[in-house]
Amino acid sequence: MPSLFSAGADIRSMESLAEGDSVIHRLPPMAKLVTTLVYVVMVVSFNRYNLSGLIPYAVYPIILISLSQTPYNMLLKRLVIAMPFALFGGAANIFFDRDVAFTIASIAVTYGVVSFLSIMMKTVLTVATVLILISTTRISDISDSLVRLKVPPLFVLSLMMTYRYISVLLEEAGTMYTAYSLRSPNVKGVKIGDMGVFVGQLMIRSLDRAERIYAAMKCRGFNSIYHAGDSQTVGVRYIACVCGALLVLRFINLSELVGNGVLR
Amino acid sequence: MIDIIDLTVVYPDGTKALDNINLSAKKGERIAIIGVNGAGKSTLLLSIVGVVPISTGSIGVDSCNVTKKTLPEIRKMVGMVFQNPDDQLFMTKVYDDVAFAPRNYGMTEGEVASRVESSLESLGITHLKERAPHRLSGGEKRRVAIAGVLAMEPSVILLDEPTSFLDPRSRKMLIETLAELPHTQIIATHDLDMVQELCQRVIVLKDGVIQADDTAEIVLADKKMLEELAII
Amino acid sequence: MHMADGLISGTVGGVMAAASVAIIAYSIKRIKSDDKTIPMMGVMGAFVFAMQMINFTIPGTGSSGHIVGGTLLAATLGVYPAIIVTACVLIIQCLLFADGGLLALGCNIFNMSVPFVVMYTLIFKPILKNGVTSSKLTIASILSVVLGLQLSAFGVVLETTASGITALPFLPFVLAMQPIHFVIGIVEGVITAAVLIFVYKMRPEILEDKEVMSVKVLAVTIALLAVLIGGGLSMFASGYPDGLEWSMEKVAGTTELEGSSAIHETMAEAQKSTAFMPDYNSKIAGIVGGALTLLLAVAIGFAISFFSKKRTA
Repeated sequence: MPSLFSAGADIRSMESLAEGDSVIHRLPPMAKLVTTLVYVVMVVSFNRYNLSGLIPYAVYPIILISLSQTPYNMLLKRLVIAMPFALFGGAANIFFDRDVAFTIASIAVTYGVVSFLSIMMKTVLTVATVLILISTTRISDISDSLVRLKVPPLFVLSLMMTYRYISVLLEEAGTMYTAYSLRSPNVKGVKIGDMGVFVGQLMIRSLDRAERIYAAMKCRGFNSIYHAGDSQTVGVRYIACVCGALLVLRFINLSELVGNGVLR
Repeated sequence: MIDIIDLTVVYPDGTKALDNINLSAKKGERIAIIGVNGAGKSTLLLSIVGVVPISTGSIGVDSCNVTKKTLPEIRKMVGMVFQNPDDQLFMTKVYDDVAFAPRNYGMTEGEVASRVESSLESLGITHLKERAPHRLSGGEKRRVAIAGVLAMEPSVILLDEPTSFLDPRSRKMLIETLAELPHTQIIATHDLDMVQELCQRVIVLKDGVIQADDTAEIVLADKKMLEELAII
Repeated sequence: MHMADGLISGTVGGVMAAASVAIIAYSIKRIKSDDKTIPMMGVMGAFVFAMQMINFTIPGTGSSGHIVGGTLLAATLGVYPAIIVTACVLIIQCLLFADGGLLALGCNIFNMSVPFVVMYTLIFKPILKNGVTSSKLTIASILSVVLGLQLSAFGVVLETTASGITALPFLPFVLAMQPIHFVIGIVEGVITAAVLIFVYKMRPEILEDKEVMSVKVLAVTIALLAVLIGGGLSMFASGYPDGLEWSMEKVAGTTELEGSSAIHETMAEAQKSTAFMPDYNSKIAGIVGGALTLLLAVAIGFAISFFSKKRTA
């Protein structure tokens, strides 16, 4: 996880990207949300030894990245966060799964290596696609799509409010932390003995803020029902095209076809 | 427009926040409420919109008394702009935030859109429509918060410290905007320069009691009283 | 620990997503009447987010950590809002920081909420039934956080091994995960206690009258847990019955047959089914073709970037 201070900057840079303009940015948010979900499910459904079938799936995020001009370094930075657990699980395969799958130029490649690579590939593909969704779509548009997808408005509202107040509370916690560390030299982080007061203080402030927000909502006629805005276009054609292509690639191993063609 | 008669507010812990307040505001009047922290300025505003319950006395807005039953009506007529825009702007898009009240009052999306457009326009912030509130500057946030209140088309606006957190330029622009709004305004503030520029009438509060209620010229000229009350 | 998409199977992801959706839907039903809860949940979600980023130092070790907060949420909001807040935080972490996979959200939401609300109901609340004291708060917090985290970590192990993507055997995985999370649990329990004691001293009403799960709901939840654990264990068991089927599954995988039916076929049959080309060649073709496809994809990407930059320039 990023730190108290970098997290805010990370969110801001992501939001700036989402406010950009490109073919991908202009796609209906609903279409992007649905295709991302389908894509992730498809990628996960590949057998762990089916690396060659998985590779053509890289085309989709690569096209999205280049069309939306999403910067690679942002993706790489976020990928690093997602990696450790997958790396841990994947590395175990190299260790435990030592049967030889095939040999290339007398180097034996084990099933473990194949599945390790496919785990890494799956992680990179799913993480990249989700990040592209967020870096080309505003959060408010995603929330409208969620309401349209019949997610209960109450849930969408608390999701959006969580998002809305992250930057506010990060700033508050950051200020508290700065004030704390200025008065406690030679301490890295908050001393565990001070955590109760520090976190407790932040929590009480947050709850007080919730009271004020509630009062402000009441003043504008809030009566426990959240009314979402007009629904957007769905982008059925985009969804159909992408999902169709993904389905074809799921059941036809393009890598092997290309390989056969070349080898012949 | 607003008639407050013998208003007393006692908090659950026994503190008397407001003591026998009598106050009436005429249509289109801009009234400042000044006093030290804890004098009861915010409590007075919050009691008008029914967030703080009235202990004794009454508050009437356009001959409609503030009771639990009339709150939806009252809140349509009286808009409250909170001190910290971050407490008020809770949505992830400016448009949705300004549309919040109209939607709550059950308007069609067409009506909502025209309300949002006109209130954004009257504050000169139509260009912020698609932005995320938490990415706006202090001055912009304040304007959006006011737009969210104007969208209800109230006749009275209550403002709690509207110039706090603002840089000099944003402050100046906000004061100009408030001067142009035709609404009756009650403004709780520490900003005496703004009071001088903006308000015809000033009410001075101390410990929940009205100390003075007169024209701005007279109150602001009474340096001795203001100093005694620790306001300057 | 947030699970990633790379390590779970579609089945496990789907089952856990369904379980989480059901739990969230029920939670929403339970809090609909009280509208003050909505801003509370929103702000507390953001609070958890900020809180998790506060690094603290453990004296003498120089190491630092951060806390998760399931028990803290249940104690301040009640169990149902706590579930919703946890879900919101995890969704945002997944989307914004790629922390935890999208399909793995079901697993993560389940692991991070259910154990803690169950322990809050079963342990925390009963301990504090006859009055709140600092020592009772401490015991209740540590116990429910430690046990909750144990259950949570076990969930991660079970969901991962049942997915059968990693070859990491069940036993060493469990033996690694549980003790680590025991230590983490003690630390988080101590901090949770300190926070709750502070909050109780300042504003006791915050901790009062928080909803717990009813006996009926608790029973259903525990039954659900049992079914999931049983199902997970049996999936895990059938996934790795013995060496023979183990290797057959591999072959089935590389020859792109659907998993379950392929398990029942012999190695030879599996090879026959792709008889238009010997197995070995298909692998080589896969490698060559895969490399070419990847190159092609990257080339397409560069070409698009190049032309779109040229157009905007």
